[in-house]
Amino acid sequence: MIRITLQPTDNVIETINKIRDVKDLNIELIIPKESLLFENSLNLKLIQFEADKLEKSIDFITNDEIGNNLIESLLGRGSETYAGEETQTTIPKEKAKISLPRISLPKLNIGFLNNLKATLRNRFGGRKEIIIPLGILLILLASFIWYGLNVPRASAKIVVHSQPLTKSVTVKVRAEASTDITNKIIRGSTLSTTIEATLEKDTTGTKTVGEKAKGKVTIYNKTSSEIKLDKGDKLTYEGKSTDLNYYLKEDVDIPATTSTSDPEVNISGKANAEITAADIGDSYNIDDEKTLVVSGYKRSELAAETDGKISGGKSEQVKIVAQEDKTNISNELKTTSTQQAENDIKNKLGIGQKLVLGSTQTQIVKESYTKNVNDESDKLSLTQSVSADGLVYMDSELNRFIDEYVKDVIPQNFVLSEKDREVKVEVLGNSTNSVLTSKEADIQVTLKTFVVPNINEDQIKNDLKGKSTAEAINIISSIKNINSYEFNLKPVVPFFRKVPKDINRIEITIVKE
Amino acid sequence: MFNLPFLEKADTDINKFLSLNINAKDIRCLAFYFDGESFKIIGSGKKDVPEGCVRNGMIIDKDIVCEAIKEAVFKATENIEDKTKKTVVAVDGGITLGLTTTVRLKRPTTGPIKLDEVQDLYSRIMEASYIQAHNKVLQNTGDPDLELDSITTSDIYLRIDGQNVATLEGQHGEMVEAAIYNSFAPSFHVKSIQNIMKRSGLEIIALGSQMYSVVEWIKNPPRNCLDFVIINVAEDSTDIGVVFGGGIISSKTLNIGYLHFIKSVSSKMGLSLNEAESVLNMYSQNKLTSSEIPVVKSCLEDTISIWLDGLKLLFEDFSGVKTFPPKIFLSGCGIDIPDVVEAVKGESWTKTIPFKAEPEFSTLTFSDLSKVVDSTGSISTPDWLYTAAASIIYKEIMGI
Repeated sequence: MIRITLQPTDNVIETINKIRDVKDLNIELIIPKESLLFENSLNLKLIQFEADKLEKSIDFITNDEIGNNLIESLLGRGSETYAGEETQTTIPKEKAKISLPRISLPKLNIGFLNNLKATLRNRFGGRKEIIIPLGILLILLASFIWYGLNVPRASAKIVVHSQPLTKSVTVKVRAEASTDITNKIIRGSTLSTTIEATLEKDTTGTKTVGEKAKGKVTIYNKTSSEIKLDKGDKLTYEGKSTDLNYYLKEDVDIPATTSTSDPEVNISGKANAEITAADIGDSYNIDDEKTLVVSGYKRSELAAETDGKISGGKSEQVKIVAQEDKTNISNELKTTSTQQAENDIKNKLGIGQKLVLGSTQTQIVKESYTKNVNDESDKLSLTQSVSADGLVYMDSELNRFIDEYVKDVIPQNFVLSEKDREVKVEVLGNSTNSVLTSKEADIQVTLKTFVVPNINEDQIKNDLKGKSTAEAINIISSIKNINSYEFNLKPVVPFFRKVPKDINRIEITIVKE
Repeated sequence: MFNLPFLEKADTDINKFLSLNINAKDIRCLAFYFDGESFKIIGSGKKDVPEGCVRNGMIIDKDIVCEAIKEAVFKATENIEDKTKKTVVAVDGGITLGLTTTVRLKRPTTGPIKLDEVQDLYSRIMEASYIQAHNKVLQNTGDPDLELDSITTSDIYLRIDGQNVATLEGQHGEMVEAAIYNSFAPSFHVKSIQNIMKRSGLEIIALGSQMYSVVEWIKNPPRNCLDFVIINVAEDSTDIGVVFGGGIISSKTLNIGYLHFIKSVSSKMGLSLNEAESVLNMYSQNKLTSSEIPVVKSCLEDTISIWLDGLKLLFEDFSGVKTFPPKIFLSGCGIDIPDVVEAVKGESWTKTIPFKAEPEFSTLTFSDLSKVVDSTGSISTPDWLYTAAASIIYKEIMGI
C-alpha cells in the first residue's frame, strides 16, 4: 500500500497521472481540504474509473466534510440522503385550481402533424372530402413503411460442436512478482490496513487493603539497668489464638527499677510509647490493660501494657489488575481486530481484486492500557492498533494466466466458451507442500468450460445486416465448425424481406451440442 | 479613428450592447449593434488572465479579473463613438446548471385560463425546478448549503389540449402542458459577478447561460434542430447539454477542458504554458514539421484518453435520460485540436451509452449564428462562438 498526498490545486488529470506513476497496486489517496477535486463529484468517479482500468485499488481519505459526502456518495453509502431525479421532486400541496399530477421529461414532439395538416389545407383548399381519405391513405402508408422498417427481427440459431474442458493447476500468488506461466506464478500484491479498537473487561485479581491498628503502651522495666528500645522493636500480644505483633513507632528509654528503703519493694521504671500493628486488620484491635511481651526480654525483665485501646485496625478485599487480565484482553482484542481488518481489506478491494482468504496477517502496533498490573480497578480497558496485510490478486490476471495455460490444448479456430466458464479457486493453506501468508499463497485453480468454435457474434450481425434471406443463409452456412443452423426473419412483411440494418434486431444464439 | 457608418447616430445607442465572457483562460468582450434584423459585431477585445484567477467559471481573483474586464471592454469599444455600458454576461457552463421542467395538469374547468392561474402554475414550476436543481447540485458538489439563483428562464413550449400556444392566459382548454427551461448558478457567483461588473463600470442587463444561448441559435435556421446533444469543450471544463424539443433537459460538466490539454503538452515537453499553447496552436493548424507532430500527439494521448473516459461517465450520469438523440454538436476552443475531435468521433458510443442510433457529429461555427454578422472581420474562430451567441439573450430581454 502506498500513500499519495495530493495538493489542494491538483486537478483530476494530475491526480490520475500520479496514480499511474506509482507501481503499487493499492493506493491511499490523501485529498486535502478544499481540494479542486471536490468541486465536482465526477472528478472522484473518473479517478476511481481510471484506477480500475489500471487495476489499482484506491482508498480515498480526506478531512474535508463536503469531500467526505462525495466519497460516501461515490461508494454508495450515503446516496440515500440525496433526493433523486425528477420523479422524486416534491411539489407543495395544491391550494387553488391547478393540480400538478407529475413532473416528467417532454416526450414526443408532434409538431410535424400540425405542419402536415397545414400543408394539406393549403394544397387542397380545405376540401374535406379529398383531405380525409388522402390523409388516411398517407397515414396507412407511413405506418406500413414504419412497420416494415422497424418491426421485423432476424434470428439465427447456430448449433456448434463443443467439448468440455476441465483443467486444474496449483498456482502460487506472490506479492510484487510478475506473472510467470512456466513457474506457475501469478502477480499479487499486499493490501494493508490499520485497525484501532478498544475493549473493556472486568479485572480478576484481588488484594486485601486496610488500616493497621495503633495505640499507646506503658513499658515497665523491672531490671536495675536502664533499657533502650529502638524504633521498630517488636512487642507481642499472646492473648489470642494467634500471636499479634506490634512495633514501636519511636525509640524509647525505660529507666531502671528504683530501690526503696524496703528491700521487698522496688518501683519499676516505666515509659510510654506508641505502637503500630504489624499488619492490617481488625484482629489487631485489643483492649486496654492488655499485657504485651517485648521481644528479646523476659516478662520478669520488661513488660508492656496497653494504655487505652489499640484500635483502628481494619481490612477488606478489593479487585486489582492481574497480569493475566492484560494478556487475555490483548488476545481477545487481537482476534476481533483481525476479523475487522480482514473485512476492512475486503472493503478496500478494487474492482476485479480478490483477497486470498486466510492470508490476512496482523501485528499489534501499539497497545494502550488504562491501568497497570496490581492497580486497584474493577475494569481494564485496552486500545489496540493492529496493522494487517492481506494478499490480493487481480481476477483478470488469473484469467489471463488460465487462458495462457490452456491455450495449447485448444484446437485452431476454437476458443474457450465465456458463457459456460467457471473458475474455482481453493486456498491450499499452510502445510508441508503449501504456504499461506500475506506475501505468498498457494491456490488450486480449476477451470471448467467448453471448447467451442471461434464465432464472433458481433461480426456475424454486421455481416448479416441489410442482406437478403438467401445471402444471410449463405453467410451462416459458410461459418466453419458448425453442425447445423436455423435462420428466421419474422414477421414477414412484403417489400421488407431483408435482415434489419439495426443490429439490435438481429439475434444470434449459439447452441452447444 | 475609424467609425462604422451605423455608429454615427447617437439615438441608436439603445441597440448597442456588450457581451462579456469570463472564463479560466481569458476575458472576452464583444460590442454589438442590433439593427432590427441582425446583430452586428462592431468591436472585440480579449485579455488573458493568469492561471487560477477564474476556475470553472468562478472568479477567484476579483482584482485581476476586474482589470482584465476593463481592458477587454476598452479594446472592444475603442472605435465606438457612443460607448455603451449595457452588458450581457454569459456565465460559463462549468458553474451553471440547466434543466427543463415539464408539467402536465388537468384543469377542473375548460373556461379561460386567468392570470392568477398562470402565475400560480409558474410559481409551482419554479419551485419544482429549484428543488430539482438543488438536488443535482448536491449530488455534484456534496454541499447541501449551496444557494442557487435562477439566471435564465424560458418557455420551451406551452400546450393546451395538445396544441401549441404562445401564451396560456385567456386560452380555453382542459389539459395544460408547460415545459420551462431554467438555468441556475450559485448565489455567491451571481453576487460576485454583480460586484465585479459594478467595479468595472458596467451595467448588467442580463446574466445568462452560455449553453442556453447557443441552443437557442441551433433551434433557428440553418440548423433548425430540436433534438440534439451539445458538447462544449471549453477552457477548463467540458459541458454536455441534452436537448429535446428545443429545451435543455439537463446539462452536466466535466472538469477537463482545453487548458488541461495545454498543461499536458507543457509538462511533457517542459514548456511554459504560453509556449505550450503556441505549440498546440501550430499543431492544430498543421504547421509543425513531420517529426514534431508525433511528439505533440503523444503528449496529448493520455489526457485525451482520460477526457474521453470522463465524457462517457458524464453521459452515464444523466440518470433522467433514457435515450440520447444521435445528433451531436461539438463546440468550444478545445475542438480546435484535431485529436479531440477524432477521439470523440472514433469512440463506439452505442456500446455503452443509450444513443438512439450511432451518433453523428458536427462542429458548430459562426455560420450557425445566422443573424450575427462580424463587421470587424476578425472574429470567426470557434473560441468566440459562445460570446457571440449571448446576443440572443439581449434580444429576449429587450423583447425585440
